[in-house]
Amino acid sequence: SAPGEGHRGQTARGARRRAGPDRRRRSGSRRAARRSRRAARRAEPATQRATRRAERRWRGVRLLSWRLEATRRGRHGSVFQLLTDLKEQRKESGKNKHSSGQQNLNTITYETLKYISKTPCRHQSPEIVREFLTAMKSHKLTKAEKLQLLNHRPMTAVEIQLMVEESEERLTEEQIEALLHTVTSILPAGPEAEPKKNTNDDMTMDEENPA
Amino acid sequence: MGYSRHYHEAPLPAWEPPAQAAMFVLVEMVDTVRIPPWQFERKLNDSIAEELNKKLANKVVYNVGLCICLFDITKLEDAYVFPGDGASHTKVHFRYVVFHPFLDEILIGKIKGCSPEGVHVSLGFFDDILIPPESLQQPAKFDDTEQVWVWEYETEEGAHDLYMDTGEEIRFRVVDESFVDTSPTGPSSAEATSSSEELPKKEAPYTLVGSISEPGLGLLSWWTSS
Repeated sequence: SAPGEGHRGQTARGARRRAGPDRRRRSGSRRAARRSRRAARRAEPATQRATRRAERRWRGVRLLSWRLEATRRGRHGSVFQLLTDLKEQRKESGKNKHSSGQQNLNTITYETLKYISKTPCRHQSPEIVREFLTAMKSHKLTKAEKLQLLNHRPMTAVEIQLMVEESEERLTEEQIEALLHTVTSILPAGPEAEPKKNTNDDMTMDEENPA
Repeated sequence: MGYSRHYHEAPLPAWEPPAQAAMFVLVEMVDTVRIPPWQFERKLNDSIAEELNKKLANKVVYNVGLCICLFDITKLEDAYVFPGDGASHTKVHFRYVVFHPFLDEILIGKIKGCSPEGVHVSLGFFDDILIPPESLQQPAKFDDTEQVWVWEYETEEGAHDLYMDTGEEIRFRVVDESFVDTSPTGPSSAEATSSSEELPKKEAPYTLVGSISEPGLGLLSWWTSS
């Protein structure tokens, strides 16, 4: 019986080998790729094969998260923009059961948004910020100082002196004037701040007249 | 352990000092988040974002600042289910928006109230700001009957009283900050501090000290040219 079995085995293997090229042609390259991968695996040392098998077992419980893509935002996104987006998101999923227990988030985002909405930052966009920063290059200010100017949109020389360290030594009166001009011309005033802007214009005109 | 080899890298610090100074900073943090099985149907990113916000939003992290909301998730490591617990545990690298103004930053807030200790200022989302009497515009005095601080502004026509009423907008400079570790103490240290237990006053975990003793600082109405 032994030679018979051997014989049968041989023929089966032979048949497969014969049919091999045909089948490969019919079912495309995917099966071929799988077969070559399998062959490469067989060539690995036994220990590596064992760890791979263990890994496959782990993957069963490893929740779909091999390397999930990080949710990245634009680098220029402001806190205001972030919070507005978040608010929209939460409004959409408002009926969701999961949003319970998020009172802390709701409180802090609401309050922060309320605060930022009252600042001039509300009307700034990434384009405006970029334009402002390029215009600021000539003024030789530190990052923190530029940030303060963005956050506050100062309209008087007194405010500039607060935000720029040692402004008396570093800036002349003309430079402060120029700085004020760039700030007020590039950064938009809110619609509600229009009358304020007018008074500021009057003021600068008054100061310019004697000079 | 089959999974330990994934953690061979040196653990990152829990937080890194903010790269840039601002009122709000982005702080990189690392945490392991547990997601209970009944949330497995949702996207992992969403449930992790929710868990992080649940844990951190509106809380003060010691020496970091007041946490506002999640900015983004930068990296998710593999999630694991451990024996005896059906939940998944994922190590997450993320960035969080944190309120932490730098020293000497100018902020605008509202006066919450006056007391003999000074002027209390609120930003709406953050309340623990105090301007002590010596940092007010001088000369200043506390009006006992109205419970309000007054700047006795001197002009040619004589002293002019400028009241610092509750609800007024005020511009101030941040001159100091202090973090208090308010995490619960163990029984041993509680015994040691039993003498100070008569003070049940809840201490604020993060306080800012402000100053308005410069021209341009103080109530906004003082410096507008109208």
